Formats: sequence, C-alpha cells, structure tokens
Amino acid sequence: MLDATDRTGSLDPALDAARAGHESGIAELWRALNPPILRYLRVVVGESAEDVASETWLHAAREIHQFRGDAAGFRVWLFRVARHRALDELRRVGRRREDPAGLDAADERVARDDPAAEALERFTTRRALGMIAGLPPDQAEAVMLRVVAGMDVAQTASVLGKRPGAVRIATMRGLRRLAANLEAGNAGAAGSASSSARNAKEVAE
Amino acid sequence: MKEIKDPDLAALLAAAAAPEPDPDERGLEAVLVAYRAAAIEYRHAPSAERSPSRRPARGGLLLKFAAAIVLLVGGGVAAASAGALPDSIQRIAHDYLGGVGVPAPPGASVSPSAKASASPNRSRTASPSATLSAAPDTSSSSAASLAPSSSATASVAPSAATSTGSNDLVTLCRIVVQAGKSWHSKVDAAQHTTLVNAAGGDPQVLPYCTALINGGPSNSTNSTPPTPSAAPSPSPSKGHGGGDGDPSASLSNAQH
Repeated sequence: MLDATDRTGSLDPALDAARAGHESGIAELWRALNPPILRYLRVVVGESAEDVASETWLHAAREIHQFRGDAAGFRVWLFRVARHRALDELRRVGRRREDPAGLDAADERVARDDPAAEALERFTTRRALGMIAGLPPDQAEAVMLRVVAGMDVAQTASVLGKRPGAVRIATMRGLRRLAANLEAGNAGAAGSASSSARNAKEVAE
Repeated sequence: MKEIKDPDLAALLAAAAAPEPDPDERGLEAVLVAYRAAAIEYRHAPSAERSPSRRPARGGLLLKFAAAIVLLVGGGVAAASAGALPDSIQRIAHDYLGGVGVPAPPGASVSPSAKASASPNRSRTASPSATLSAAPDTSSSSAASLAPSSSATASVAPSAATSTGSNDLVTLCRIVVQAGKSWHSKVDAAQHTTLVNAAGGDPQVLPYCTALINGGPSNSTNSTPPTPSAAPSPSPSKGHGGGDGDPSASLSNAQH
C-alpha cells in the first residue's frame, strides 16, 4: 500500500482548482473523497450517513475558498467536520454509536471486474462494515480511518483528537477483535486465530 | 502498514475498502450549488470581510476563534514548560500564564507552588465561552487557583503571542502549512521545537497546523461545532443518493 500522502497528493491540483473557483476541482474532490467519507459515516451513524455526508460537503463547499493547506490536510479537515457532524447527529437522535443501523441488509450488489472481487465473494462491503461497526466506537473509527480511508497514524490522530499512541492501540485492538470475531464465526474452520492476532499487531504498527 | 496475512481479516478489510460498484453522482449537484453560491459571495465580499459564508454563523466563528486561542495557549504552555522559549518570551509567558506550568527564567521570582499546579492540558480543556468571557487577570497570584488562571491565560494570550514575533504559533503554522511536507526547511531549531511541543510530535505538526489555521471543529475542546442550521441557502437535498452502496466514484484513489 502506498503512503497516504501519495494517495491524496494527486488531489492537490483539484484542491487548487477548487480554491481558484473552478467547479471541476470540487467535483473531483467529491468523487475521490465522498466514498471513504460515506463508509466512515456508515460505521459511525449508520443510516444517517448520507445526510451527514451532505452536510459535511455543503460546509466544505462554503469554506473551501479559504482553506489553507494541501490535499492531505483537506482530507483530514473534511473527516474532522464529518466526525463532528456525525457526533452531533448521534446526540440529536439520542442513539449510541454501537447500533449500526442499516448495515445488515442482505441484498448488496457485488462489485465486478476489480481486484477485490475474490474478497467480496466472501464478504460483501456491507457485511464488512457491519462487523467493523460492531467494534467499540474508538476501535471502529480507528480501523476505518487507518485501513479503509488509508490515513496514516498522525492524520488519524488529528481527526480523532487523540494521541498517536492511542490510535495505534485502538487500531490494533480493533483488528484483533475483528480477527477473533471472524474465528468465532468460522466455528470449526480452525487455526487462524493466533495468526490473526499477530497480523493485527503488524497492521497497527 | 504491513501486509495482512490472515486471509479472513484481509478479505474483510478488502471488502470494507472495495470500490463502489455503481457510482452515482446524485449528491454532487447540491454540493456544486453551494460551492457556486459561496464562490460568488466570496468574490463580491469586501476584502475586510472576506468570510461571507461564515456570516450566518457568527457563533461558530467566535467558537473557532476561541478554540484557536485555546489551542494556541495550550501550545504555548507546552512549549514554555519544555523550556523551549527564549528568555524574554519565557518571562512574558510566565507573567501572563500566571506560572501555570511555566518555569520562570533565571532571575524571576516565582512561587514554587504555582509552578507545579497544573498540567499544560488544563488550558486546552477550558471551555471557549468561559475563555472569552473571563476578564484578563495578569497578576501572578491567580496562579493559585486553576480555573481563573486558565481563563486569564486564554484571554491574554494574543498579546503574548504577537509579542513573540516569529515564534507565534499561528505565524509558524502558516509557514508550515504553506510549505506543506517540506516545512522542516522553513523553520529553525527553536521554532521546530515549539511546533513539535505544541503538536505533540513531529509527524503531528502538519495536521495540527492545518487544523489550527483552518479552525473548524476543535478536538481538544468539547465544544459543539457550528450547527447545520447555520447552513445552506441551497437545501441539502435530504435523502439523495438513494440507499446504501451507491455513492459515486470508486475508492481506488484512496486505496492504491
């Protein structure tokens, strides 16, 4: 996997264009960043993800002319906005985070023609997100930002307002717990639990 | 990050990050409408008041301002307590921060109890409203009680900051953010130390500074961000985008 800054680095021209008043710039940012924002929000607020993502982007559309920083910084800023809107939403509806509404539906379409197709035969995206959403909130968020959004530890720490060490620990515990839950689900298909725990540690580093 | 060898966990994470099978762009139009409106306002706003989009959310702006100051002061305290500030600045910090976490420079008198009375984090957790409403109290006796000193700290901070010239955290952060990843070459050793102390580590400096410069929701306070009601002339088209699993674009930009 590439370094997170390389991945967002390609969005620097789009950010510059957006700041300069070109719609193509913000459209490109939206196309690249809305999917990970939506997945992250789905884990945090479940079925309100679409609405919270909309609010996040409307805020971003109004503020982007004055944003200072590069695309990696913009992504961190955007996730921070999304996170705070999401927590507001949870407060508003009085719902706890560990209630991943809407993630269990079975009728998900499976992606075609992509390298992850094999994985998708075993897990649909929705089921995978549902399992992550079942983690304790801090672990679920850390896993989503590190693994799914592809942020580095420092960026994740900035989004969550935590120390990098806390992010590493939350990520590691989240992955370990996922591995353990998978093993529990594979009753009989033995043997992968200990290696899963080891791998979780490697990923978290 | 290393490869994950456990096939089940790897498959689960791959599925969680897989590209969207059916990108759809229904949410984009509302974003573009808001963007256009903001662009027009931004261009037509008098330069003195170049934040039209924030006009509906004065409270939000105030909150951001307060959050920035709290961050600034937190950083200042961190830097000062690490002994990173030059003598004159150290003295100013000591005077204004009432000795909380700030060792006095040699020659200054300080009550020992005041020095150990608070951690740098305390000023970060001060609520912005308390911060702004409290009257500045520059007497060092305020150091004895924590709550007043943290508010005095915040309200006095700007003068302390501006007098520190190039070591002002906001100024430093502007330099960092402008330089991006090559920010190291733009600061000297003392400035680097100040930034690292404020951000909590070298890798955190860039995200920290980006957050500081751009305001937005502050993680270090429990303040609520500007509410969505401050928003949009163009309505957010609730419920656009249909069900789950069909936002536009693929994740490939973010993943590979």
